[in-house]
Amino acid sequence: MGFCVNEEDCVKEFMSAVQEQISYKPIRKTACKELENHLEDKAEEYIKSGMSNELAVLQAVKEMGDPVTVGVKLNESYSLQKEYKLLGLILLSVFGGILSNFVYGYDVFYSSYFYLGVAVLLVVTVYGYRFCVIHRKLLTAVAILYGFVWSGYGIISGILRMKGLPGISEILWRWNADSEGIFSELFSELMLRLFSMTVQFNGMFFMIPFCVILIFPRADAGDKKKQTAGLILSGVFVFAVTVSTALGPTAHYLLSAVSIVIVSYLALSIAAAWKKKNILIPILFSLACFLFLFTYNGAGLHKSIELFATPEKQAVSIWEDGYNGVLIKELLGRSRPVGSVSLTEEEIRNYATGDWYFTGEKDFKMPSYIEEKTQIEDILPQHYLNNYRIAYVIIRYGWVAGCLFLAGLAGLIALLFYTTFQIKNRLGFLLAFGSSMALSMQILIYILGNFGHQLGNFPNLPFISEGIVSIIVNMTLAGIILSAYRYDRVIGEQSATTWKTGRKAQKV
Amino acid sequence: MDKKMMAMGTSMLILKLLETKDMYGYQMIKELEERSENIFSLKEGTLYPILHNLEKNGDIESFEKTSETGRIRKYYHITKSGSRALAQKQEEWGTFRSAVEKVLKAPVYESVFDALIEKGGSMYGILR
Repeated sequence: MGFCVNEEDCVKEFMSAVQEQISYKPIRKTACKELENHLEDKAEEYIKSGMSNELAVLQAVKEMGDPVTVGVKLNESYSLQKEYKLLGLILLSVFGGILSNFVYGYDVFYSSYFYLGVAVLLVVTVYGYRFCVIHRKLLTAVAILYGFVWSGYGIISGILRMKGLPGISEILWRWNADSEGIFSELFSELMLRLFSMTVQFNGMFFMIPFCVILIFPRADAGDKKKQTAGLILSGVFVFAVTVSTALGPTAHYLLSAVSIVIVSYLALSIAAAWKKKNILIPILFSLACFLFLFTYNGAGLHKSIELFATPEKQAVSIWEDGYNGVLIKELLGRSRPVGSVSLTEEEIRNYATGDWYFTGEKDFKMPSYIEEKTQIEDILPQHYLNNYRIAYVIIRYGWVAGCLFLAGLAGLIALLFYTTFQIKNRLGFLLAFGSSMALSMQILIYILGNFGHQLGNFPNLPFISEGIVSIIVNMTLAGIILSAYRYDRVIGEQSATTWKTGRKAQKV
Repeated sequence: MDKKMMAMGTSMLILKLLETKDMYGYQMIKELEERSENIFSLKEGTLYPILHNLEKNGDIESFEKTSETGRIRKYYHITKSGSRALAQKQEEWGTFRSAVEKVLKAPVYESVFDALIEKGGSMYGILR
């Protein structure tokens, strides 16, 4: 350190030399705050022992040692972290999605969703967690609004369905199909995408991590009244989710609701460090909600669980989801270790018409184009490129290729949770945990569906099978994990400028 | 004390200090000096990176407190995992210390004959 005129300059010069070593600029002041306080404590003691102010400060600064060395060591604790393994695997998956589309004959522009998704992933990774912490109040408001819209959508749709009327989704589809004129078409398309696809299908995945934003600040407030408010808020939220699930059509909703409950209570227990007996209350409340769910939607859930467990019971025509499950199981059973499944033209025709299964009992007329099918791709279920990518790889290229695909997906799930459990910051951890659950749940439901056990509506395979809303939602979820990890050492839970811990400042 | 040995035991000493009560950085340095009768004098450049690493490993956690003078201090608190780590480090240190003591207490012989003489008692014993 160079020559300084007075004690104030000396402290400033020392601190700025330390700060310069910290690579992440926004954290510089915060990271050095502890050191500055330390210096003041030290100088104060020398003053008490009889030294002059000037000498005391100079002595304290001198004893702090070389500012560059101190700064370099501090930088090790306050630097941004990069997670290349998970990012690399996600980008590889996206590349796989684009490549497979290309192989199937689509042009490069068809995959434009993926490029947009990668941009979203990178932006959320770089700014996501920082945004979540700085704009937590705004996000809380958005989460409440979104929760209302989502629950409301489920409840209204459920009531309409119970009364034998078409649900909101069906109304929107019909409206979109009947629209005439460019503005009407665009508006109905927007509403359809927003409500039918975003809110209904992907909204639940978004809510899994973002319920943390809603509940965590209140649970962490440190005073009993606010913690109770957090508990009540989470109770209302869980109840709304349960009601929506109860009226919703499938077990798919049930799984999402269970995930939301788990993440909500994990947030409560981590944030408020609750005793076990206190956690019993919300668990009992959740059980009561699920009892309600089975009472009101027993039939709907039973149908959904039957499709999952015994698809053959619902395979009454080739148009049913149950038949897709049966057909996929049959074709997987005939698949070879390496290479495409081998079928004669006669067999292909039988699979296409369902003759192999219904053995002439079918009472539905086959369209002539089905009778003329000659390729394996022709006999696979509709939307097989989206819904049956794993099964398709096994049927078309053999079990070895399929197992490699599955191993990659298992690795992706493992890496999602491994990265999540590296995060020390509680808010970051909870957001990443919720996101990992949402992504893993989609992957697992997708895999089960590809082995003939479809659970509710088919989700997309994150990062690989397309759909603009799903790609953006899943890229955002992945971005949240990477971002929480990236900022783990530099941004706390309260705001971007406080120390790394989440506890509130207390007066001693 | 040798620097390497000091570094080995520093995190253990910090955890030991925090076992009794929550402390802030400067307080830890003073407490350590006092308890060791000025033998251990930690530099800030050594203390804070160790504290932050312990925090990163989940052995300690930190929180802010505002003192009466209005200065916000960052206090550290030992976690359950930190207590377990401390017990393990203490055990390792005990093994290390007893090994060092065994070496230090063992007599030093100038030659093999000296050793044999002491063990055997006399040249006669050796030759026999």
